[in-house]
Amino acid sequence: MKKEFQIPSSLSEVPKTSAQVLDFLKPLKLTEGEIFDVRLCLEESLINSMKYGNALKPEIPVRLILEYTDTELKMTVEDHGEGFDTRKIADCTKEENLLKQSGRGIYLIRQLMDKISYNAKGNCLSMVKYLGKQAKA
Amino acid sequence: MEVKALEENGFSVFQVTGEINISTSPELRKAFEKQSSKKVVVDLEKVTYIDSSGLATLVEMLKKTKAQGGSLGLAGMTDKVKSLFEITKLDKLFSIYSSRAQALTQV
Amino acid sequence: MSDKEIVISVRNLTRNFGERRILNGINLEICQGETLVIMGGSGCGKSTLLRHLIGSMKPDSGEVWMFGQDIAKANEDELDQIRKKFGMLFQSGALFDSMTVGENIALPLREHAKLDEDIISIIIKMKLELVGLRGFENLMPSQLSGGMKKRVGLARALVMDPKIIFYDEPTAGLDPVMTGVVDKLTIDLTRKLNITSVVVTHDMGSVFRIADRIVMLHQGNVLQIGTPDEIKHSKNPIIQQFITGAAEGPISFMQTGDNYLEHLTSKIKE
Repeated sequence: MKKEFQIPSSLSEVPKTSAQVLDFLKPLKLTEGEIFDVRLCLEESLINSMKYGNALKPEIPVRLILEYTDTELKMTVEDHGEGFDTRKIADCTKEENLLKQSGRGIYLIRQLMDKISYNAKGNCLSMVKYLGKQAKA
Repeated sequence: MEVKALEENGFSVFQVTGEINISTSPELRKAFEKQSSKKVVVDLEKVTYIDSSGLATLVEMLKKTKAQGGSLGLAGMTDKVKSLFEITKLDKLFSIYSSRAQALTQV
Repeated sequence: MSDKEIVISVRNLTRNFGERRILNGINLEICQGETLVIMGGSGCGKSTLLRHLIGSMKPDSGEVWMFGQDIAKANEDELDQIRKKFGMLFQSGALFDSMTVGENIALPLREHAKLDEDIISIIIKMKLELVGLRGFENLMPSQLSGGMKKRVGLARALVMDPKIIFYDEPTAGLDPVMTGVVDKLTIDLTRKLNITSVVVTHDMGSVFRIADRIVMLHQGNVLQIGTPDEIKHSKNPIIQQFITGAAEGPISFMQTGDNYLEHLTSKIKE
């Protein structure tokens, strides 16, 4: 199953979108924990794209592509910015960074999803979560 | 999201209900900034969802309380919410209690 | 620049990502009506600097003054107000595929203002006229070439009559001829409307065609700020190495939208 969305880059669209997405994913019968993780990673990536990629301009779209089979769910979020070299983002779990205000969004995504990858430019993020028997305990 | 600010046993207690996310975390921050207690407990028992902006807001509240020579504890988190603190190693930073009652005796 | 109003003032802007210093004490003043190009090699910090200018990022230290306030210290509500006051142009226009050209252009109006539909319709047509795409309002983005999409993006960026427009690699993905068209349009319009343009790009040809002044960045530092002439003759070896091979002169190319529209619609039988 596949679905594509173009979302205005406005924070008020974030909960709307995650509600639509979770609705689309109902057939997967995700556990509560999986729903939480999917929602959090989706929202964090949308917020990052809207903020850093699209300057929070509602007239600039974020593209979201959802694909699923019974073994995996893939979410791709793309913005129009120049991207980030994500290797350069500070590790928020290091002692000296714990008190910092930012940097946890991407870290959470990395931890909660099974596989993530960026395109070379850094403005398109793909997140994969394995489902069913392949899922982590 | 709703934030109720209460006084209990000389503590400033913030009882939060709902979701602490990018839209609602500024409200929590505003409520916190209305006071300057040295003993703060944030009751998260009824918090169903928190994102990185929510985590950042709690970090800021901790920082500001500590800057006054005070202490801040978090109470009653669900397992899911707690796991986010563990993943981001914020559990090393915060005093986390299983209930408000516990926090009020220990903070 | 001396007698003109300063619209953006960057003071000692510093930003780190972890241990890496991405911006190292940047100082910069941008004047009303000028076209300022920020450029440099990859890793120079130009995209990060742009993000600070549009309020998407906050510095570790320093100030960014715009519209009478230090936006580096603005809260979300204040930033929302500030975002309405500038336009942004992205690569390939960044349009919604599912909306017509007119609907795309009207988006900022619908978001920020409560205008009558008739008024919105007139404004859309006015902006399309400005970018040479009269009659295009009912077309879909998929029916447009890259250069046309860019022009629609420009019309949309102009719809709230901003004083400042930021351009993020605006000519990437366009062929050299279309690049020339977009550049010419940009210069003409922004001069006519006295808009301040801040352009982040690495397209050398564009830079020398459109810039009033150029800011050369290198590894988070400002190497030099000067007119295209001053930069071209810079004694700085890094700058010289970077600009070698720049295209000479503008390519002028006149194309009207009318031919295209006629072409598109001529096959439609009543």
